[in-house]
Amino acid sequence: MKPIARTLALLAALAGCADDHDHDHDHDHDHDHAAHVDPAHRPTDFPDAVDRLIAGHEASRAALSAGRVDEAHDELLPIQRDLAKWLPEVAADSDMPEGPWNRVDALAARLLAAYESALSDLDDGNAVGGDRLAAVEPDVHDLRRVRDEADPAWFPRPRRSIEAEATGEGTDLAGISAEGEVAGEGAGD
Amino acid sequence: MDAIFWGGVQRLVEALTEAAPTILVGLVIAAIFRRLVGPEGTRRLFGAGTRWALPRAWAIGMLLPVCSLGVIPVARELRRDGLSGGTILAFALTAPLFNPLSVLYGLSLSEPVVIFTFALASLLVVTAVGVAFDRVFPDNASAEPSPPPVAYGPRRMIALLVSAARELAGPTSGYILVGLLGVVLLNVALPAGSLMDRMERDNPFAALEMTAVALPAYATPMVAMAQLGSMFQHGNSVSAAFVLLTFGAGANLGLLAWVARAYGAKRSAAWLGGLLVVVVGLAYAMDAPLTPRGVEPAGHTHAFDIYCCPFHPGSGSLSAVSRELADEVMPHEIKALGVLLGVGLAGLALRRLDRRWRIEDWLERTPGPAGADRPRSRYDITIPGPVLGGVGLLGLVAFSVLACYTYYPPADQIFDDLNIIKAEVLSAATSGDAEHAEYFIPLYQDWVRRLQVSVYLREGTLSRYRRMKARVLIDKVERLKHAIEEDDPEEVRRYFVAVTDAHRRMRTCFVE
Repeated sequence: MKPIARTLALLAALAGCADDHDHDHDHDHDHDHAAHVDPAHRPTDFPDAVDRLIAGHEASRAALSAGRVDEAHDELLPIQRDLAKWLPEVAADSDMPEGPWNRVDALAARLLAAYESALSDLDDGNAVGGDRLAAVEPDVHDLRRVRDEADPAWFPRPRRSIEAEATGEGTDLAGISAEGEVAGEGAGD
Repeated sequence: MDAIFWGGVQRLVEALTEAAPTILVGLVIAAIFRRLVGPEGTRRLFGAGTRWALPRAWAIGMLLPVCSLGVIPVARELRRDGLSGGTILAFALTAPLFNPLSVLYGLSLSEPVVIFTFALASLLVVTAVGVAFDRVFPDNASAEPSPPPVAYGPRRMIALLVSAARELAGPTSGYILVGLLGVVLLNVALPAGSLMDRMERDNPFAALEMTAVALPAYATPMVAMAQLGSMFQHGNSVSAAFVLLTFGAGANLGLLAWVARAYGAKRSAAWLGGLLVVVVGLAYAMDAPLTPRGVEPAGHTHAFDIYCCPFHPGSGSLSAVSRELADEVMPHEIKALGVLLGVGLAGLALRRLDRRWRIEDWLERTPGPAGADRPRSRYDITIPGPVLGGVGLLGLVAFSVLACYTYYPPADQIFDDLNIIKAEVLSAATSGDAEHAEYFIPLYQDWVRRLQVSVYLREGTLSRYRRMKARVLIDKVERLKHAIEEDDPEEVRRYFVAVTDAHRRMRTCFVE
């Protein structure tokens, strides 16, 4: 019975004091439903993500070249890393076809590796200059090209406008059927 | 107290119904070993006494579709057949971890490298602990005399049923109940939703906490694999995921109780201690290399709610339990439970009958081939028991492969169901019916996962593009769920549109 006793002890430690069991739940259950809160730098769509990434890349490179290491380490590069991470998902959240998406995915992986490598070196106290990011400059240009060549219809901004308008009118869901069709619009199908 | 009491009832019934099909399979496998393959054949199959015994136990365990409760009768039979403790424990731990159905599920939902690494790591665990167990405690095998042979013909089939019935009416039921007790214990110890944020990758104790939860928990291979996929999608701790797979799916209190009873307190404590050290050590070792890049930690997950009390104080009641069970329990599980009860009752009846007449006396009356004196046609072939046993075991493997195609239907069929489920979810969102949404949203996400497995199964590959489209949809559905739970109409509206778009895009890339 040793294993059972050990498990019980571990469980007791994990669950905390048994007396808390009820106490913890006397109040509302909001703590059970932690909301998905996106960071402020989460892009709205793919063009926005590329714009942010290009601007951030240039700012990071400039900061590293000027020796503003703390700014690059604490502010700019972590955001760049997040943007590179999110890029494939943000691109997939659109009508972008598979071919361009694969290009985005590959470019994002290379950019992510570069930002993580720079951050890792900065964490270890190694010197990182602006030239480090120059190595992935062609990838940033490629990304810009993908965005420029993209069909704007892949990124349905009008839908957001409809949403914003509807939200402005009230909080009911009138105008949208259960199948997701928006009144007066083909719902993209 | 109402939450704990009714939560315990719900968890117990849920686990029993979930386990019923694989307990039945375990009983059939044990009966095949006992009556058809026989001790000698079983020892040969497992390579007893050779250096291949442990890898063979691992391979056989991976192929047979049993869970950690269903493996108990098989382990008991293997011990009666005289296999070494290391081999039996290796089999008992790996058989519930993987089967063809769950491996497919895992391969398409997690990175294949993760599944292969986990499989290899489990081989390493069972090999290391098994070798050590046999070295430290030699002569741990304890064979029992094999039962007299049964005559060819229908009696062999009846003997299988009798063997399964007697096994279920014996100590196996007790061990299964102890295993189920673990689930009730967790319900008492863990309040509803208390594991939501415990398995994050930045929690250095995630693997240890998961160990404490997973040992008494019961998870079928499919549930464990689905949770594994969910953990990777939520960016949870990889070390905790490995522990969940090894202990959550591989062990339970019933199995531990059997080990303690079969090998004694000292040996079983040494085995468990060694297992804990190796599993937790490996889990931490593979944490950094396998942590997926590009996955944003969600901060919380509902994946482990099933190990906690299902009710908040004041919300537990018989009607709530009935409602939950009606939603959760699958029709095939109810049928399997019915068969299981029938087999158990047959076993009890046989025990009662034993005082006057033992059915085995009749079954074992003619040791040689039956009907040797009658004329035989060329098709009347006598198949030796071990061959029949081998066919039976291969049949089980083939059945589980076939089940993959049934469980994961073609993509266009899945979309027929998905369209209905999507309509239910969106209808619940528009009407603010959180209860309706709570039922259909997990179903929606499950079918999206099954869609990926189905394509992987039929095409042998699943592109990153398709994976990402499915991931986007699952994420949007999850966000819609939270918006409904928080009763936030603006967010509901936003994700209503997002889910519709993501669903359409996923359909386009999967079937058009």
